[in-house]
Order: sequence, then structure tokens, then C-alpha cells
Amino acid sequence: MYQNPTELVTSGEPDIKYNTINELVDKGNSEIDSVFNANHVGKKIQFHAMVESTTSNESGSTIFVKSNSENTIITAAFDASLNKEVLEIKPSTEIDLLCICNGIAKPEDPDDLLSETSITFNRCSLINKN
Amino acid sequence: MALIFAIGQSFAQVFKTSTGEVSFISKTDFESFEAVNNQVSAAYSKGKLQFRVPINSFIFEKKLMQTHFQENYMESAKFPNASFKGSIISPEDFKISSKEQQVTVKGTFNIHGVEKEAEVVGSLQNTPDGVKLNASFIILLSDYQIGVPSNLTAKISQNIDIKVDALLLPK
Repeated sequence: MYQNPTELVTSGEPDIKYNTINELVDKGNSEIDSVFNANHVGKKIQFHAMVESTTSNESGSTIFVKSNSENTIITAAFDASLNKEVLEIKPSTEIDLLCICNGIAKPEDPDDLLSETSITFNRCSLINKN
Repeated sequence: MALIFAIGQSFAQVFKTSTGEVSFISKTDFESFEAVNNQVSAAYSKGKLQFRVPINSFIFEKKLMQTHFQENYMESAKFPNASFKGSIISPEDFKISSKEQQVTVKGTFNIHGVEKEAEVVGSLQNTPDGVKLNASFIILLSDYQIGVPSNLTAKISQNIDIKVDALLLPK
């Protein structure tokens, strides 16, 4: 058991399912961070979203997801084994993802250089794309 | 095109990324292991640097190690991010250029909910692709109340070697 490898592509049933990423973003913006993170960090989250852009390198690929909140960056990271599949997805494509949530982070001070709210997901799998 | 980009960079005061990389290695006589994180947010502007590292984005080779790291050592549901905020103290008159320059940054780490001041040595370089940032430093686990069970002290080093590698784009 000790030697089992980490699951790099999330599978199985989600712990939480959101019809759209905006539902999750609204929750993140309205709840206290500690409450949101206690309920979401490490959990399998499934959500529907629109692609803003994609990027990749030899370590893996990332989809930047669009949301209704202008000052929120949402990134979904994929294992390198899915690089080809992710790079084929064009901006504005609608997708369904199953990922592990890493939580929400908000700027702490008004003068923070990282001035956006950030929600990150990793070990994602692509359930569906339209 | 390159000239326009260069002019653009001189006026673009903030450089950012959401896909920076942080890796760490733990080495003891009995075991070595490492983990990589490709979801690091970083920003640089006028001598100031900031990082935010989602703890659950560190990927380990072994599932059990991944689980122990997140749930037991780092308690990532309570402290989902590690961060650093600081300013360049050396060289005093630092100006970013196309030449790679070593810098010393003084700031505050927040890891596992514990804040500690530290100085970190790294390098900054303005390239056609963006601002290249590299750093390496050592973190002492006990400084951040990261407890290692007594039966594992031979396999997990108290001193963790950390490397940062990020390409920041003008925003």
C-alpha cells in the first residue's frame, strides 16, 4: 500500500458537483475562506465551465477557466499525459472537469501584488467537452 | 515586434504568473524524496516579490506520502497555501535587465500558518519571454511547527531544499 502511486488523473464519483464553476466562485466569494477551504480542499469536485486559455510544458498543462468574477483566476492543472488532449481544446469551449480542489486564496492586503482571488484545481480529468 | 514588446515591458510595472514551479527535496541517509508544484502564483514589481503556493498542488510519486504530506504534516485543509512576501535588499540600486542578476530578498514566509522573516537569494532576468525568476533556499520544518512523527525522523529531513523557477509575464 505504501508503494501505490499517486493518482495523477482524478477518477470516480465527485465529492461535490457544481452545475457551473460560477456557483463555486460565488460560494468562495461569499463564504469565509476557512469554511470554504475546509469543505473543498482535497475533495473531488466536478464542474462545468468555459475555457479561457490553455498552456502546457513538459511538466503538465493548465486550463484557465472563465468565470463571472472579473478579479478571480481559476486554474485547472493536468498531468503531462493529457497535454495533447488539453492543447486541442480551443478558447470558449465548454467543458466538464473532475479535479482535486486546492482551495481559494484571496489578497490579504490592498497593496498585494497578487491582487486577484485564486481558485486552483489539479490532477484534473476531462469528463466532457462541447 | 521585439522592440514593441521591450517598450511594453518597460511600462508594464507588474509581472505575474499562475503557473510557476516550486520543487522540494528531502534527503536523509535512509530515504530521499521530492515533490513538484506547477501552480505557483508569483508577482514582481519595482523590487517587490510575492509568491503563493497551493499546498495540495505538490505532487509526490507515492500516494501515501501525498496523503500524509497534505493531511498530517501541512494540514492543507486549514492552511491551503504557503506564501512569501518581500522586497529586494541587495543590490541596493537593483534594476531589472537582460543580464541575469543575483538578488537578496528580505521578507516573510507564511507556512503552515506560521510567519517567519527570512532572506532568500535568487536571480532575476528580463528575457524576451518575460521575467525569469529563480531561487533556492532551505526551510527548517520545526520553524513552521511542521511535526514529523518520531518513527519517521530518520526518513524525513528537518531541512528541506526548495527551488523556485518561474517565468513572469507583464500584466
